[in-house]
Amino acid sequence: MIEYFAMGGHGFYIWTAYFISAVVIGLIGVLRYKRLSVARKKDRANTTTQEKP
Amino acid sequence: MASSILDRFARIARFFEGYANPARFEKLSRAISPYLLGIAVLLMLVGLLLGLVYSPEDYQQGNSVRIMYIHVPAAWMALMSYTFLAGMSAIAFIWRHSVADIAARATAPVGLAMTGLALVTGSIWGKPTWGAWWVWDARLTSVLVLFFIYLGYMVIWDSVADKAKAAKFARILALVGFVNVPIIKFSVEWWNTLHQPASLIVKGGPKMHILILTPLLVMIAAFSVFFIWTVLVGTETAIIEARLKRQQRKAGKTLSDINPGEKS
Repeated sequence: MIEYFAMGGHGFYIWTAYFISAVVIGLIGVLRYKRLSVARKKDRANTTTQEKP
Repeated sequence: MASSILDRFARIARFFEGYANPARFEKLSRAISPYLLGIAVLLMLVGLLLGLVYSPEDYQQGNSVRIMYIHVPAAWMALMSYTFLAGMSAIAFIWRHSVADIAARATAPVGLAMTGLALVTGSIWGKPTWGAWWVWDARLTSVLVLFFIYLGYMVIWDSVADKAKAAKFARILALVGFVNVPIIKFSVEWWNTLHQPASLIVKGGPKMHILILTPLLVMIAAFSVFFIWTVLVGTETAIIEARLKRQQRKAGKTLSDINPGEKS
């Protein structure tokens, strides 16, 4: 297992690159989804308010 | 010949006209975006498994070649995002489609992040391969220029108060900046660089072993689907936020609680 993570002496470079990529892609995904959810929620609330007599 | 080109052009125009309607676009986005995210995540997991476990070491670079499975898709996505952004800016310029500018604007932060990721992962790959984190090589420098073009595009939208003027300036920058895309692509052929030449899209097919090529293609597919998802979701969000702003304005309320970060 340790041998696998060492990646023939390149482990530091490989895992750093993958970690940074995961953070960047994860952040893009989460931020986009969260902003959409908030907008949809406000939109629904707004529509409901307008539909009220 | 000329008539067939015009015919194709008209067909493309008709296709975009269909989705220039924000309500229709929103409906499309709501229907397909969850599936796209699912496919992107699945492809990424498969790509990671193949790239980190099943693919072999490179005979020269050893295990550091595995950085390629994220570096190349990130660089691919940086260029794809910019091509899309420039295409949308051209559509907004020619046909004044309301969704085109919104889509271009939604693409910019993703493109910027992917260009940054390509630069950082490339730098990390460069240390064990070239012995340097950074060199002022034609490919690296032209990608750095792309990073600043993305940044400039975003700054224009955020800093110019008159949105009609901001849209005009941003479109011009996007179209002029597109000159950099072929420069990036062919930089490794036009100049002597440390960066390796193209090995994926070359005459006679890719110059890679199938066990290295497969995870790379899966990761490129994953990043591409993820890119489409981010653009759809970003555009849908912008459409909803714009509608909310209009409604708030109509109701005579303040805008500050809708999007405090955005200047109106």
